[in-house]
Amino acid sequence: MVSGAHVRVEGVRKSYGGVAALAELDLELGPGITGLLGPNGAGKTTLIRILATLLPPSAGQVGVNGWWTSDLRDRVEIRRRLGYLPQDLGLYPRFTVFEFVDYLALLKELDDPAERHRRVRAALAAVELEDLARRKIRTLSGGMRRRVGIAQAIVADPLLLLLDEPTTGLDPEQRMRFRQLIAGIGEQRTVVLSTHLVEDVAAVCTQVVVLWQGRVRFHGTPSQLRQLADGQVWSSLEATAGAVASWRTESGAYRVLGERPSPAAEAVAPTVEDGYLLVCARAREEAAA
Amino acid sequence: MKAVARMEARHLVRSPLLWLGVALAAALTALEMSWFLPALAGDDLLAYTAGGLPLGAGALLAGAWLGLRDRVSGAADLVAVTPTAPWRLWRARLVGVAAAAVGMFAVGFAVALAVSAARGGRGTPDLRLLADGALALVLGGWVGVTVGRLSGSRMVSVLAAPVWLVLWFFVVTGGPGVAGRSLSVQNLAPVLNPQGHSAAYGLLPDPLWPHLGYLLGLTLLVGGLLLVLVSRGSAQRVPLRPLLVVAVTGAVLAGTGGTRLLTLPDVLLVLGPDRASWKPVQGDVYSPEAVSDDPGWSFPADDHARACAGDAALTACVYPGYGQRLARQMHAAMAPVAGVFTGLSGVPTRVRMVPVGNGSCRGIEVQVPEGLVREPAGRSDGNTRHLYIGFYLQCALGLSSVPDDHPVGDARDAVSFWALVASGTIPREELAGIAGTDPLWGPVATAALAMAALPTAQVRADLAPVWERLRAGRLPISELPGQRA
Repeated sequence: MVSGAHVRVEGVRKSYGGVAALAELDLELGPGITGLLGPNGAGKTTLIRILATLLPPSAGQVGVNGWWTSDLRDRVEIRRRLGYLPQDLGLYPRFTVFEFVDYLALLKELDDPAERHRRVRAALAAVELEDLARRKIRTLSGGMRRRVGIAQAIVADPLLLLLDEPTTGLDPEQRMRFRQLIAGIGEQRTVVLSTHLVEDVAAVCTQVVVLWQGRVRFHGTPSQLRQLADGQVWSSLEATAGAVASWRTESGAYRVLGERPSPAAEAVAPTVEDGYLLVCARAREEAAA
Repeated sequence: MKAVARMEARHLVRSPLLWLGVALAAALTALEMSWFLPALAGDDLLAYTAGGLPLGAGALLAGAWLGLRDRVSGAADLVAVTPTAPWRLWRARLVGVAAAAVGMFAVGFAVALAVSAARGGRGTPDLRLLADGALALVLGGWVGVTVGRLSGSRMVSVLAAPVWLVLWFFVVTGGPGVAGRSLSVQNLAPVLNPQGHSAAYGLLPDPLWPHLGYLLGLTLLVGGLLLVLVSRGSAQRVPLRPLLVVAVTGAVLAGTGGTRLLTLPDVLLVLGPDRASWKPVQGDVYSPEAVSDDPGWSFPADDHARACAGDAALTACVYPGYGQRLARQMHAAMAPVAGVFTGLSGVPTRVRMVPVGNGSCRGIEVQVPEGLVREPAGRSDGNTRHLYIGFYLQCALGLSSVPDDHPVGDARDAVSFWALVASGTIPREELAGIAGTDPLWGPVATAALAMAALPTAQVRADLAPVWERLRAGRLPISELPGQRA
């Protein structure tokens, strides 16, 4: 039984020209699937890129299984155990699907051709691309390319899998299969999943980190995030001006997040998304204060 | 990393840019071959020179695209997070480019030789030319990778190919205005100028070896520097010492090879028949040779013309680079005329290629200058055949290669005309036409027709007693066979 990677993020700051993308971040991530949630500009991609050893932090340090990204040799060791799917995925358009994943597998030091080809086929099967293995990448749709990206990320069976917006462009059925795939990997590996899609996090993540302006605003399980909204979600016949969020639902009633809008309003069961919205709202209030 | 190199080579070989270079090279070679008679020299050289530049430009573009690929495709991050050190990856990619470039050169070369063979061409390819041409392509490909990788710009990469072509075109065509040493400067181009290379076959210092060193040096230098540059700021330190050794070795090779090429003699100054008086010098004019003012000198025996063909009556030998086919062609042209003179004293029984001159005799040897054989002007089968026959007749009849040295209407001209008709080289009607219409050559043609009316053996027998007087230019036409009646 292989265990995943233990990731330690200690006092990490990252600034771009004086603008802080991450501020004094401390995190510990273990085996399982950690979802990174946050609005645009919260620092999710910056954190993922730092974990992927692509960006050096301005301060602080990041360790994976005792190897530190600041050390040149350690960095190589981390990369040996890393799978990465970037948000802006670029592939070689003239390669076939198989060739591309095979090429990346080679660069990931899978030197034995038979074993490498077996793993490439397995990775393609996992993302249901085995039938398209001989297709040129330039002929693929956006969703198919995303699946190629996932295949190359998992081909070397990484201990730490970093996925930045992995379900962008996938149709609902593919997203469901992706969740199954990630859930399977997350049983033995450390997966960090950065996404805007709270339902993905709710479906597969064992841990959630909500980032807001480069700071961790929540770190816990999806259930704990959902529980934050206990007693704060209502069904009301009237729209409420002062609510954290309020929207009209299919039944015609309003779903209100925040204080009870009226005595007639009925409490409803919160979701992870409610908890996330509440965390963001509180963070916004604190920032405004 | 061998697998990466193989994969990159496989992809590059599928590159339309490279195939565009191959197509362009094949077209240029075929075009050049249509200007050159197939039986003439240097099909391998044509393939090498005509193909070298377009193939090099194709390799440069394909290399530049590879250099750009990670950045343009957006896959740079995917590659960067792998444990493979950038210098190892780029080394493998350079090897892949080199393998593809060599393969493409082999294809281009084979196409050129196939075209040549289909046209009846010949010639023994110099293996050093293969190595040199392939290296020129590898250099182009590696320069392309460097341009693509360092510029990160498609526009710059696209422009690099024409710049590469124009740069070398100016070097190749650089006249005396370029440092006053046209041929030597031309030697610095990725492909050698064949005129500078082939003219002397061992009589001038061969530029191929220093050129090979020069190209290899440039290639190593470019490759070494690229590997250092791509590894800047990477997680894994580049092994600076070995790369530095490669780059310095490259610089030394390129420097010494280039210096040697620049100082290489490119003119054979022939001051007389004695080989000791021949001087390889560096000229400041475009001329592969400078010949003595004395038209009578001839070349002493050397062992340079070793590709021979012929029979007991006549043997033709040319420089090995031209192959036996040229020797056979020379023999086929001259043998019928030589057969007419069989048994007469002092007629040539050997034909030998010599480096320079206008065509001359040395005893029983016809000396055919290489330069005239290679002369592109008027290269048709008929013209070339007449050129060879003319050399033979001059030598057999003691005529000077300088036309003004004997008067028009000499008995030797009449014997020449007779020999042409008797050997079947020209039809009797053609000579009759000259006899009836040409006031200058008419009397000579008439005398030749009278001789041609007699059996060849009888004319030969009648000529034997007066042969020496004829060759000395002292025999009047009236004493030729068939004139008394």
